[in-house]
Amino acid sequence: MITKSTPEESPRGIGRELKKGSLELVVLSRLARGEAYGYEIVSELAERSGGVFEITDGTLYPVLYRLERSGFVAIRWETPERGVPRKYYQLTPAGRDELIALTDEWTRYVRAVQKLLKTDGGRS
Amino acid sequence: MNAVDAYVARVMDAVPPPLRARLPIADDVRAHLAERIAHGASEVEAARAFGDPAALAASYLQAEPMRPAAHGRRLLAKLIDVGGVVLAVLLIALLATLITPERYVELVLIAAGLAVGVAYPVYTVIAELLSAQTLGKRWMKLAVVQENGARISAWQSCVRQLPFLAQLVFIDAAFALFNSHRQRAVELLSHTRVITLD
Repeated sequence: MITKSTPEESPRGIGRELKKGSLELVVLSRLARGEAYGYEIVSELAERSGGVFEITDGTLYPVLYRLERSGFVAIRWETPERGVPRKYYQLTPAGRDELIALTDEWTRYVRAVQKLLKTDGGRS
Repeated sequence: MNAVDAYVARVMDAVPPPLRARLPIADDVRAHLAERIAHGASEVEAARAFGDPAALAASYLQAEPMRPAAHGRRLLAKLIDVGGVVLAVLLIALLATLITPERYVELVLIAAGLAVGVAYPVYTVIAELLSAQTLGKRWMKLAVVQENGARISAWQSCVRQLPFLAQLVFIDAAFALFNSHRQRAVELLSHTRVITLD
């Protein structure tokens, strides 16, 4: 009997690899809608993906740091009257170009996989 | 020390001391931990959400350029270190000869020769373990790191000195000519490398 599994539950861990490979794209895409701080991004990704894109802080923040170091993301510190300073991330023009390139790459990849699945009828 | 400070300290333990990225990484981790705490998590829960500190440090270090050190600079660093150890041991030996009866002076010089053979690898193991640099590497702006950029362990630091103890220095060094990261044979074995800091 074949049981359905979510990508995360997949025995071969395909969901985890897909997430890893698409995280930069998803984060850049989120920042294209406006600036956000780290915790906000983690929560939003989980919520808007229906729990599929549930990532840990330890996974997201090094990616944001990498995007920042690459110049794709700029930061802004906001110090509230009460509480600790918060780091906001914004997309830079270079980040926007990167988002376009990554989106294009991702779309081509998804189309190619879909084409292969159609050809093979999803059989292994 | 609270749980946040303790966690950040453990992340920093995994980042080699000479890397300029230490401060920005520490600031980043601290800011995001504070964010989670501001959203109601306890300090311990926030630290737990960040996972293993060494793994986190390695993930952050992926953003840092790890340029392999030039052969010439590595050689110069080695000469400075060997020269420094020889000078230090000779100085001690010379002082020792002043207070040693004449018939034992020869013995003191033999002991000094042996001491160089021991002092050099011991010094290098300790210096690279504690600060990722020997004096020569510091002057040449080089650092020893793991292949993922993290700080090397005691085991790795010891393995790096095997060619010196086994008198295979030249064979070991020749490997650096044939790979893109310029790693010596024992560096390939211990998954370490020498990078330039400028």
